[in-house]
Amino acid sequence: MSDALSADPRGALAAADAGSDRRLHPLTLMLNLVRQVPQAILGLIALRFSGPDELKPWVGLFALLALLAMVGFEFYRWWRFSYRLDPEELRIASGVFSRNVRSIPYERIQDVNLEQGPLARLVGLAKVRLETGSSGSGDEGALDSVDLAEAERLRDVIRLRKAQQADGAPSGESDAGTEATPLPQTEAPLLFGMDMKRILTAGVFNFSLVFFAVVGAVVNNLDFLMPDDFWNPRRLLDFLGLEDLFAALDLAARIASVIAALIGLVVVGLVGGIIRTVLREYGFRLERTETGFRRRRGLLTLTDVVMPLHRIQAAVIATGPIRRRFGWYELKVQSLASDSDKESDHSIAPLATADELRHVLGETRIAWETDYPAMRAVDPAMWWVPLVFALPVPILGLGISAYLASPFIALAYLLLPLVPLISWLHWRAHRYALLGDQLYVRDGFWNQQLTLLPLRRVQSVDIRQSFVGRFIGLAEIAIGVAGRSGAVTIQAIPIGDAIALREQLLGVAVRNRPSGTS
Amino acid sequence: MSAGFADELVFAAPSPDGLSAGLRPLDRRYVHVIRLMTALVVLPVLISATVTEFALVGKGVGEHGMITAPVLALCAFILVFLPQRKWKRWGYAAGDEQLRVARGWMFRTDTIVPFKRIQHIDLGEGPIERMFGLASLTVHTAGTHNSIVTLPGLARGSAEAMRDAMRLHIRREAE
Repeated sequence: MSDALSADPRGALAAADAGSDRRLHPLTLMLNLVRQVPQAILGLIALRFSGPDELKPWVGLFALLALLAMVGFEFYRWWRFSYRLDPEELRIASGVFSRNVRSIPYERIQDVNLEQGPLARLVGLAKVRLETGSSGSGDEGALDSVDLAEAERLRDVIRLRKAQQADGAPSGESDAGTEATPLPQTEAPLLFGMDMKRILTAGVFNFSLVFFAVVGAVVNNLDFLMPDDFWNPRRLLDFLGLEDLFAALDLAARIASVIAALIGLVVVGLVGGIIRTVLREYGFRLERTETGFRRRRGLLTLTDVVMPLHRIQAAVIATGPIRRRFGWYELKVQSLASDSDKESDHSIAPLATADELRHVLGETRIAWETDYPAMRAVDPAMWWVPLVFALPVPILGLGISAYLASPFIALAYLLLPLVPLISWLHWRAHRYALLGDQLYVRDGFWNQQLTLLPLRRVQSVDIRQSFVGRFIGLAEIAIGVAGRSGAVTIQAIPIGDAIALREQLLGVAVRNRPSGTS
Repeated sequence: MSAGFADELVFAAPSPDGLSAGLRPLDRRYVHVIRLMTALVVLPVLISATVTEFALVGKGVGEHGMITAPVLALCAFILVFLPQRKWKRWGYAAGDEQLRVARGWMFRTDTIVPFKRIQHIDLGEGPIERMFGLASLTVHTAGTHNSIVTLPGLARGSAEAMRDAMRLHIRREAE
């Protein structure tokens, strides 16, 4: 099942017919309709239960009319959507009321990614997503959906034309498709894969209360079906027939039941994390293709993502205090185009040992030469200065409310030491190092992240100093990097060090030939 | 009053430490631009203070001048003294290979963008800037943080010269 995406497209390639308009696969219609059914049904239920009384007999008729309108609209939309592989560009014509023809030159297409949802897999369709590297939503060019062979053909033709344009060779008029016989992806060497045992292990570290979020969302949408004040605990116990039982319990039993509930929460969190991880990482394969990485994963929704090496800007090695003890790390790379799941990092090894990780990293031009013990700590002012400003407020507030309202509030003082503790842990976790032509920055105590930034990827450098920082002679460095949601920052270093570090960071950008960003 | 003014109420020159060394000031005329732009912010405050005062006095509460006088004094202070100080907080340096822009006092930021990393350059003129023959230079990098760095208050001619020098650099790197 997992190799559905590698179906042989040679037959389809031979039949390539550049320059003719093509429509999406007709089954797309069915997929789009099926996707809308749950909403429609919810709407009808809501109408049935909460609409005006006079309208209730007509609900069936409304449903029929709505269905017809939906089918008609979807069909028309499908009919008006077409795409064409011209010699120089891909053209997509769309729009029901206002027509829009989009031309995407092949050389501007950065990635061709395929994505298959569970339904699409049943009927053998795939969504083709073209990343153009513009800062839009990432849906600049999406063909949703075509059959798998056509998707593979599109990917190969686009890659070939892109390569031809890059070489400056004239692109063949109609025989370009037939030339595209080499298919390096299918026999590309496997760099990193995860078996079921590894995926389950990853799930254990992926503690997630998403289950409750799902329940919450469902309840939110269906609350018109529930009696008022359903969530009142007494009412809930009553509803479940447990009230008498609960009242009969003594204090010890009540405490025991609370502990049992907490254990239950942990179990649900673990199971939720495992399920989520299995759904996402099932059949994880990272391959080395000619130009970069290709990642395939997913149990229900299968994704197939290509990442050219030259667009990788930085790498992040993530771990946690427990994972680290077992020797597990996650490797993410930051690339110029956004991933299909709108994450800014592409996870290319979700749970790997240090050796496996170095093996993958070896393919990029990024090294992992140092780690926490050898890195430089920052000034301890990082943890205590914010406390000077942040702590007086809760201390005073608690004192006043304990005095005015209830002395029990003063118990909250017991929690206050947690604030400096967490602050201190974060300071201890924050370290940096400049080694060779790479900057290493480590952050986070619970989610430990080690950022590996090659200096050739530095776009700009800020030195920031607040009035407090000026008073104690400390500054912060913020480095702009492409394809990352925020800056790479080093906090609380002496101003002299900051200025010297900035010189070194920019040395490569200013002296050497540029390596560019794309 | 916006937070921007609050930053500037503290009287002190930028410290002559290493961070501010080698910076050039903006064009003197930019002081007037700041003053006019501040006036545009201050004016509504002045108007609403006057309206409130007339409404209150009409109801027989208080005397004329009880609100307008202090507000007027504050506005005068802001308009007379602060633009000069705000202007002084800015500084820039355009070397052969990089552009450096420093700004702010309470939260000072000192940015360096290597010419090689510039994607494109904007030369902008607001209506007030044009009145004084000034322009602002904006450079864009590929970074997501800090991808837009703006340097206001340059004489139009020198802004154009800087732009052309940078553009030459970008073109040379592209080859």
